[in-house]
Amino acid sequence: MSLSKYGRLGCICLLLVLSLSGCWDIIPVEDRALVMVMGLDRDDGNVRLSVQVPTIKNLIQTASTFTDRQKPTFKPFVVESPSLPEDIQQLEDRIFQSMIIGTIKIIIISPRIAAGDLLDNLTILLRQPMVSFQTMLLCADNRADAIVQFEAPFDIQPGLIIGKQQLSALKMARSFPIRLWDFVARVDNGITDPFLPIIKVDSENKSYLLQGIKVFRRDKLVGTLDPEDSYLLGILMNKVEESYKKINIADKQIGFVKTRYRSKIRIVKHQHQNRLLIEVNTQGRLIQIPKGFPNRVKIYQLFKTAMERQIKREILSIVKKLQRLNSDPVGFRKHMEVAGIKNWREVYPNIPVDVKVHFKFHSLSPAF
Amino acid sequence: MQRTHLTSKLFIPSLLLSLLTFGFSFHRFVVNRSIGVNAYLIILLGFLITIAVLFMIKSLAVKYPDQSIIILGNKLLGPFGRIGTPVWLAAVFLLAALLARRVTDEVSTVILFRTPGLVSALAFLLIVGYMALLGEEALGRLASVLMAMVPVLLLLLMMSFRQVTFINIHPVSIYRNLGYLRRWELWLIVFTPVWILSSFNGNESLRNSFKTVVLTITGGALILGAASLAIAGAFGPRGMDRYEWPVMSLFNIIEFAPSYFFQNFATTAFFFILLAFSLVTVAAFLIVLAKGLNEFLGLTNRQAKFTLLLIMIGLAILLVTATQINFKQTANPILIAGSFYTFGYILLIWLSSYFQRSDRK
Repeated sequence: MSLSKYGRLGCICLLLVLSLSGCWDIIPVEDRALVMVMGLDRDDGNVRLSVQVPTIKNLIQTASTFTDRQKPTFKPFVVESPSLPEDIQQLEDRIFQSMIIGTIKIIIISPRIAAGDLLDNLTILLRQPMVSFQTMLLCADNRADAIVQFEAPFDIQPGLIIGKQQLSALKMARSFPIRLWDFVARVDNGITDPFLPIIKVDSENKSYLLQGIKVFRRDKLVGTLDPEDSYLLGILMNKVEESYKKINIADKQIGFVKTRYRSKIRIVKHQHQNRLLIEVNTQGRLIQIPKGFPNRVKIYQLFKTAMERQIKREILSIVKKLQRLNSDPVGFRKHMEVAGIKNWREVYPNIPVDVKVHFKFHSLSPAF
Repeated sequence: MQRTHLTSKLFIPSLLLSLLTFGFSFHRFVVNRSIGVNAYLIILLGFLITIAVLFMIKSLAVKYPDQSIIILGNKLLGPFGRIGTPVWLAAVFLLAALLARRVTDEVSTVILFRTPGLVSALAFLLIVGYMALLGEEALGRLASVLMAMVPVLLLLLMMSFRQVTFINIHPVSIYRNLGYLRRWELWLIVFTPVWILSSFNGNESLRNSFKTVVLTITGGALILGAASLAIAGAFGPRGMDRYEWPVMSLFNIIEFAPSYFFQNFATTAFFFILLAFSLVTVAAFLIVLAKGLNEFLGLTNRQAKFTLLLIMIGLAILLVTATQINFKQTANPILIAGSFYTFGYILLIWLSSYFQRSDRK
């Protein structure tokens, strides 16, 4: 064998040895504490960090006869210190396994931290290697650690349940998901303000309740929208995919299912004044004609007009509310900039608003 | 080093891969906040200049078939060539070092947190060294195989557009914010490897398959432009400079079965594609360096192996000794100087060749 061949062989051997370099990073699965839910809270100036660490046996998503599940499905840890990095270090000291926070699915934020230095804390997490940018953010109605410590009687990890529930198209009517990267990008740019879906513990049913929205101005929490207002915000953001909508006519409720909306925002000039025009196209299926209403075309027209009027009234009220809070999760301000309004940030709270709604019956419910 | 021949079919994949590697790796250096959301126009301007430069290189290739820029420099520029060529090779060396450092930094930060950076850098260098030792034909074949990854990349890029907020990149900014036009020093950076490879071993391809080369570069520029647009659209004009590796961050937000355990599938796929492309690009630069020095110094092929070894030792020393501050301080000036010098050197040789032809007439 010639010298060059020995040299080449040596290089390959060295390369093979170096390829074992991954061993530095190896942590056996049983030694991993895979954090799946994290709660951020502020208490007396300290940052309170709470996490859910599942046990290995409870990690598998699908329940089967082969999975020997144990209760409780996870172990909560709560620590408190002046800053988030110190909290993470404290957790490392308490959890006997290697803590891996790259698997976080949900971050729950308390209103106290949302009213303060939220962005600083979120960017610390964003800079942690491999924390997914797609981690979902939620806001607790009160304490984040109370939700993290609450154990619902499910076999599956709460982080996975909440995540799936938030992303389900059928659920997107009164709560809408927002990702870590999206929240931070909205704050960075100030074009559209961020929002956070609200999570509560449903003590009665031993579950979680996802209803309502917290709205922000940049990274400061400025208001709370109840489930009905959240639904209307969803219409403006084009996020309501399939929903139930009811209207009231002569003290009777008429319900529509599979109601979906498509909203369009424009700035129009009317008598030398800029106005915000929101056009909402909506369609749905009528469940049932209540007793007392004859099955006539005229009645259908009545329902259509009533639906359009009601949505118009509600949309106007939610836009006014957002204007009062000077929060813009929809992107009205950017439309103003595009339309050439120079001081669009200042103009937004007082710009007149017009709403046009067009509702059509897509088809009647099969049961009708 | 192996004595090999690079046909158009093998040259063009290497060209595209090196363009994409440079564009993706140095996106942060090319696009910044001062440019705004219309930064993709920087790539368009660079592309137009590149086409002009490719015409120059083609005219040189037609006039001097089978001669690289090193020989042309010596032949056409005389004493200037003897100074200009080593400076150009030094620029290529520094660009290779920058690219290797950028990629190995990414490996250390994203995948192998605990593995010492020295080990990642050495492993990277050993692989590229071996690839360079096999010669440009083997590298071209590898690049052809890796071309299969380009559609995957395209698919991921298309998926990333789902996360774009179009209000962040509304077209009104094109005529309202022309600040990006002042950053002329950034126009050329992305396309530097195209000129380096074309002027060194693209002689035959530019003569015989010029249209294909131009189409390939057009495709590459479109991919880079689309990536730039997607980054601006997703993170916004002010959010873009938050991330050290913006292209990887873009792939990090692609939602691919997010309800399940793995949230970073697209990132992982992109990471390995970029790593493979980077290996090919750095190896191609090493071949240019080793063979270029060989031609310049008139060494035998056997001696070229030692040249390659010396270059690799130099690269290893540079990678291991440079601190993060050194890298941050020098990366931008090297990229700008390297791109402008390559452009200027090719222009000088072309002008010299043009005037020689005029003299003859």
